[in-house]
Amino acid sequence: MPTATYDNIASTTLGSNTASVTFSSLGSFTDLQLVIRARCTLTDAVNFYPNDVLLRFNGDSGNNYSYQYYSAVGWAGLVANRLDNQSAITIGGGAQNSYAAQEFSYHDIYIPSYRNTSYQKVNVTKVGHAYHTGDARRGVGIWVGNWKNTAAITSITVLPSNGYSFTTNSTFCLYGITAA
Amino acid sequence: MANPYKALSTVTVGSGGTASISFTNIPQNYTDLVIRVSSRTNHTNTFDYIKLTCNSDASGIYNSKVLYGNGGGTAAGTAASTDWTFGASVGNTATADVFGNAEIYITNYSAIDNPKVITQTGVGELNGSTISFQFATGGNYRNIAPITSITLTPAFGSLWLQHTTATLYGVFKSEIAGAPSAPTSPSAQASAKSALISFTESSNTAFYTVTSNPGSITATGTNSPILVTGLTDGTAYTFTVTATNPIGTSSESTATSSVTPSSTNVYESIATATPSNATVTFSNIPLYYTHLRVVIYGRNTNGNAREARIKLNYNSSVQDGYSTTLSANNVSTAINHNTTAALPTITGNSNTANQAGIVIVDIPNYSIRGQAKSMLAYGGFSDGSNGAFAGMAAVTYNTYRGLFTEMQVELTGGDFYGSGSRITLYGMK
Repeated sequence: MPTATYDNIASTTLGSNTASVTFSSLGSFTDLQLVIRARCTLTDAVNFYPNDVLLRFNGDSGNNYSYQYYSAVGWAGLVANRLDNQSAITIGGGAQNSYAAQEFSYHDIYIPSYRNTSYQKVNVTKVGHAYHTGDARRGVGIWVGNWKNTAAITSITVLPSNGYSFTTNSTFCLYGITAA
Repeated sequence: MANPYKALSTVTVGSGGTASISFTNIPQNYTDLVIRVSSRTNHTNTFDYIKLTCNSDASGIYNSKVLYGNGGGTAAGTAASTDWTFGASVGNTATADVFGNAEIYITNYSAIDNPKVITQTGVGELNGSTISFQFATGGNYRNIAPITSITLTPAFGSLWLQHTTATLYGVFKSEIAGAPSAPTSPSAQASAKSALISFTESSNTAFYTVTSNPGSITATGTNSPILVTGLTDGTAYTFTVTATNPIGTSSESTATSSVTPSSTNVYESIATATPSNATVTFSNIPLYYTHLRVVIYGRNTNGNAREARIKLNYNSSVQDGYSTTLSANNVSTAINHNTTAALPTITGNSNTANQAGIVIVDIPNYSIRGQAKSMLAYGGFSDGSNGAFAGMAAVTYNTYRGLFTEMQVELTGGDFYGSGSRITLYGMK
């Protein structure tokens, strides 16, 4: 029988600039989906580069992550890369404070079997942001990450790279998904 | 026995002629169509052809081949144009008052899953000769849309001449004694603002009509089940079904049990498989969702990373998929044309231990008949090696336009899913 499966675990919209957002009550679902609308406090009106958004599990900031991606961005065309032994998983470039007001990037992260203790923890992210004036720093991409730990995920932390913060009105919605 | 042929419309050309003869708003409740054409054109020759177009579609999606004879021999050929199929007529230098005679037969014209096959037999005349000019044509309108209009024009001439006559007949699939009996055993499954009505079909039926109570909201279809949309969430509904053929309409079926549409819990988990072999099969997929999502998680037991693959309606005679994939860490693209849809890749046994891959496949509007089924898949795995992937695939299951209720999820090379792998099918209302 079909099972009702999609629950909102927690949602937050930032009322002020915030360095990181952590979800620590993850419930007992099969999979998790985290949907983020992000803007970072980086101000770079020269190059307009986005500010990477990072993901960590269980407070682990050691070099225990790998990720790879391909991404189409205006200034560089199609790029792909892989990185090992990282201190976090990058889930795509986030909008930054030199972009037009109230412009955010979108990150849709799927984390399967987060309570499984047999496999290391994989996740996949769709990311994108666009701006119509022709500035070439926006793009789309698929990012796949891995946390080299078989422990169950009990907390998720999202933060901008290089010590920046998320700006006011960035939103973070965590969903729990139950498989039949 | 009632006559299975019914004359739907006749056009007779008056003085001055006409450039075309059209049948529009063709009823969809017959099985086949027949057009009988007695025709003569203003073409300055002994012969002309009937140019037949469907749904005003002249976009080069017709084929036809002809076998013809003139009394002195036979020959065969391919139609000169892909913009129409053709039948026999005569031109204006044929013997006075001679008209060509053609019968054009179109099977399953109202189907939404298949291109339309058109055959024609006919005869014209060679002027001043006792030998006649005969055609047998097989044509194909390569469009799955139901035929709702047909236009006949001379292939070479510019006018049908006076007294040219064309009659359109609807043909029912068998001789019928009367209106069908009422469908039986109706049942309803509620979804978001809609309900799917299933029932036991009646014999000799052209179409069915489902009616809601309250609201008298109707939906029609040629088979069970039929989706009724436009319902109000939170309202309890029952439904009855009638069957119609050209003779008449049945009495109402018994009413279904009451169901209440709801837009809560719009995302449901339909089934999960934990495979230990090569293939996972999902059967009897409910049709009352709007979209499907498949989550493929795990690794394979044999060697290298493997692409996940999907077959829809795996036991159908039609298996055709296109996919375009893009993967890292080397950017590469591929266009595949295969019997299965190639998706991003999950971890293989040669990759780092205990690492899994993830592939998410979204299939919108899977239950709409008449449309190719499209998918978007993305995912991969990361172990920091060159062998890992982040990929995306857009797939069109191109040749099948019907409902799909079955799905197989497998790996390239027939490899097996490893322990702990999980494949879950979700439905979104």
